[in-house]
Amino acid sequence: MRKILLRLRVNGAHHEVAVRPSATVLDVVRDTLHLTGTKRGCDMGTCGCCTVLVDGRARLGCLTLAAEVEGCEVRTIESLREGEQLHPLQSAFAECGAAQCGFCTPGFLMTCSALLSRTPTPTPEQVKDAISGNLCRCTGYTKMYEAIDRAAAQMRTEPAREPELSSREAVSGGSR
Amino acid sequence: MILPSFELHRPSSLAEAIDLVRGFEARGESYDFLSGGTDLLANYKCKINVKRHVVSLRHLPELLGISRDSIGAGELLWRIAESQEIHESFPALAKAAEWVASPLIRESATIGGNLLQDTRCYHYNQTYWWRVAHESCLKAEADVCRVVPGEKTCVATYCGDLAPVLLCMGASVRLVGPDGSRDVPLSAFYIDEGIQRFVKKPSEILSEVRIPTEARRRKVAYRKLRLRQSIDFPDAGIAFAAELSGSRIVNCWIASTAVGSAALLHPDVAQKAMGRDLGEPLAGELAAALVASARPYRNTFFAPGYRKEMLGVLLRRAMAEVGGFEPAPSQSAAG
Ligand SMILES: Cc1cc2nc3c(=O)[nH]c(=O)nc-3n(C[C@H](O)[C@H](O)[C@H](O)COP(=O)(O)OP(=O)(O)OC[C@H]3O[C@@H](n4cnc5c(N)ncnc54)[C@H](O)[C@@H]3O)c2cc1C
Ligand code: FES
Ligand code: FES
Repeated sequence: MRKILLRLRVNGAHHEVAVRPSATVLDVVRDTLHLTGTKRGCDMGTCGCCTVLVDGRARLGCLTLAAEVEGCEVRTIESLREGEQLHPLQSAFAECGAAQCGFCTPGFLMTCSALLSRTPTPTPEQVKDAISGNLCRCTGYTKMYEAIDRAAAQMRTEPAREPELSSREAVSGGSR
Repeated sequence: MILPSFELHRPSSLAEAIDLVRGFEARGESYDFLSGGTDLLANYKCKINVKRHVVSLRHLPELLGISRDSIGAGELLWRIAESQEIHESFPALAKAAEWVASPLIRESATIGGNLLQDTRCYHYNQTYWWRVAHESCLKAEADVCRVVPGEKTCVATYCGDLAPVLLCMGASVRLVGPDGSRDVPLSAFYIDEGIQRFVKKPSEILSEVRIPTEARRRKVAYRKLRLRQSIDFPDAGIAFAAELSGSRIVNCWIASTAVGSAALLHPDVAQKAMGRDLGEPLAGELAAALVASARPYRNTFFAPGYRKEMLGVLLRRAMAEVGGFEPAPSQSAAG
């Protein structure tokens, strides 16, 4: 099948990519742009591992055609931290033990960053609802609720800070 | 799973989309429409009924807009769930939209795609290799039904959440195709056969869902049975609507989803409620009649006997919400 040329904006950078018309956002960020922080889990809409932001809203990379996000601002886990400075959500996930193998973590973080940018003080119900399309097989969810709460509080009050961490990789999409 | 190849078309108006369809029809080429893709692309990944052309409807301004009279087919489920107008006028519709899949899916999923989503079956919604290893089924590559041996029609289950609520609201759908446009009441739209599914022609685009003013007088409630509250399709769903004079039922509607190949109204059961008081005794009676008439197949997660029984439980709960009374404790162990 003939490839199509797409102009995409990913993490603030412009890319021109020639891809199959059926390429998904997940295919393009991982396989063409080599941004492998975004994970391919079920590839069928059920796990949330592939979550990216499209114009600030959390969307499933595996069920969204890349051609459909032309003209939109796409953000992946790689853009969450600023340089070496982790995002408060990343710090909180690492500090609370909300990331273990880290495979689901990029998806959770992107979902949560969309939530907190719209709802800086979410109720426990809102948090539970927001992450209900993301699955984790390691941590359970209690530590995530704690982490999201902590990050939300920090984002409302304190400037971002650099934690002492051994799990930087897991919260930055480094898991394979 | 890599999506199979197709040619993608992104028309920017309804007229342009219809022109494309005219061309495919004239050349005898196969095509599908794409809205959110949460149903179609998942099926395509399993290599289910893949077409040569895919026409994206995401950029058609004609498919947008939410009001008390009409909802554009391209409107996203999260927008419908959060729309103040829908919340105030049709809270059950907002709830049904909020109960579809997960928040991540509702970011992409549309009301049009929801009404037209493919029917589902344990033997059909599987990867290509799984299907082929099990000799596939009537709705995909084979010519036999794996659910009812010997059956020549398909019994795959329609699992949309919005259809039963819209049926109870008396809604209709506007279909636009190469031969013009027509409005079809939802009550005459679905066909209880898993392959045919509805009366829409393949070339027709669903442009909007039209809501009659009578719907504003009806009190509606929806209940669904699902395995995981966070994400799953309904394994049974019931909507109940009533026009009341005090506690007396002047008119009422019952619609089901996920028990057959179509979302269906149950006028024979609803008929028993006319002129009666909306309360637990009536709810028990209607629930028993509904359960007696239901024939779910063994093709979704829960066993048919359980789904059948749960229809009664769901109806009693929906009636209790509309009538503002406590439903009697369920006989069934299930929630
Ligand atoms: C994990 C998971 C869980 C789910 N859970 C639920 C659930 O709980 N309840 C539920 O109801 N659904 C559920 N779904 C199914 C699906 O997400 C919804 O039905 C959704 O609303 C489909 O909308 P869409 O815009 O994504 O449709 P699409 O996938 O784009 O289209 C679905 C079908 O409709 C056709 N179509 C779409 N729009 C039009 C149009 N305007 N005119 C003509 N044809 C059109 C397409 O050709 C296709 O055949 C789930 C899906 C997944 C992957
Ligand atoms: S990989 Fe997209 S939802 Fe699982
Ligand atoms: S941390 Fe391993 S799946 Fe969530």
